[in-house]
Amino acid sequence: MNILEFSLLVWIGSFSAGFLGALTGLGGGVVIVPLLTSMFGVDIRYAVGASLVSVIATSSGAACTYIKKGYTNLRLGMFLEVATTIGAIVGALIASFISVKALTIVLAIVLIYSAYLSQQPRPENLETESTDFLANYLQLNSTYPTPDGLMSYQVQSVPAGFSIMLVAGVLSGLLGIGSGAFKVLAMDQAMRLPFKVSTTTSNFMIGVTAAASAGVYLARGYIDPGLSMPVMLGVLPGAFLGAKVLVKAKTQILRIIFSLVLVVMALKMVYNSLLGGL
Amino acid sequence: MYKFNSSGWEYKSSVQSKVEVVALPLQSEPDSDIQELTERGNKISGDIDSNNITKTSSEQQLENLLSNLLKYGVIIASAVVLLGGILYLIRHGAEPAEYQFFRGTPSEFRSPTGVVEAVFSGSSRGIIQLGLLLLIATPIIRVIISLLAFIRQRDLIYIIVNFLVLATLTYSLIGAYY
Repeated sequence: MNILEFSLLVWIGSFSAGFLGALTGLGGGVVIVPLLTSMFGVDIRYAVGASLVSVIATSSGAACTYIKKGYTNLRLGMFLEVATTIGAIVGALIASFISVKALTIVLAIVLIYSAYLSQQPRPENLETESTDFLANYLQLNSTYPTPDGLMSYQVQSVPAGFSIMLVAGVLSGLLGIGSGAFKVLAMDQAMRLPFKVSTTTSNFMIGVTAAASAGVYLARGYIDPGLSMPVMLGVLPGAFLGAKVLVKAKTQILRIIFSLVLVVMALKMVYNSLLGGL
Repeated sequence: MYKFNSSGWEYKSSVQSKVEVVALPLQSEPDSDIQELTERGNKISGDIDSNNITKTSSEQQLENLLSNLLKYGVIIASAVVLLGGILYLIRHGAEPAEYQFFRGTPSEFRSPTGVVEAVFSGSSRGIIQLGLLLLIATPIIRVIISLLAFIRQRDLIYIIVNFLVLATLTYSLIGAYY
């Protein structure tokens, strides 16, 4: 396979990954790594570098649409970025002491559990009165557009959400993913945000979390221009398309897609780590 | 980068126009008081009132600013990557693709200064790498702009929040080389 054919195929794969990443708030990176390693035989370190670039591209590309439409909760995103960036550094520091294989399996179990959780029915906007003092103090409560006009929502359990974000940041630094899945679950399950708000706010934060580990990857030589070029140029139009669909899509369909992606991701991780142990 | 920055800061005029719309039904009162009341009202409703359906205008101004920053950051970065990519495919398209074994990228592609030197020596891969650096810089600039916006609004909590994020980012980026 010469570079021209290789770039074209990687471009098509990345386009699909970008679409899924924007639609679910995962950031595309989790799809890029298994795609490049298993289908194209790329070394995992190059794949992780290209994945990181794609994560930043997807996140920023989709976020600009979401912010303009008023879905993204900027203050909440900024506040939680404190947790994810600190977590990312901690993750990068302890990366050399922890068996990635053991961690991968734990992560896979958590992902399948998350998929199960997100399938549980939960009516949106249950609470109209905020019970969380921190949410009021930090001015986190906001509004988002629905077919019936702007709806206000209250943010719950800020400390719990912040703690899950720390974990999400550690995983992100450890595995080189945006760990958007954990961000969405922290905001969706713990903080009780509307699904579209948690998805889009997660997207807003992923770019910064990924940038926190970009320096390390660049210095280690993981970010290869020849490979990252088709990945980034494929992911971007995919992400824009995904953002357009998200605004129109029904939340229920999104949840199902989200859960399917989580399960496939988890099975893929277990399969890879078992294969690596042989 | 700074072009849309300056245009984004002109939010005084938009505040004025918004206030005028609100002020119409309350013509009996003097203008300056209404302005003050509306602004205070907006702030209070943002703080406590769960039924408020509008965001404060400074909030919307920041949303527009950040949205544009991300948009143009990504557009500029991908234009540079596309340019480098086309040159790269024309020059090296027929060579075999070798990513099965990790050798690490050449040392000139591992630091910002090395990338700039590679661009000046006409390397197509250097141009792609420059685009990727611009892409990595985009969320970092977003944090800097947010910090400035909250300093301007004198919102102490979010000045601290954004400063912490920026300090963490700086630490991780500089720490990677030492």
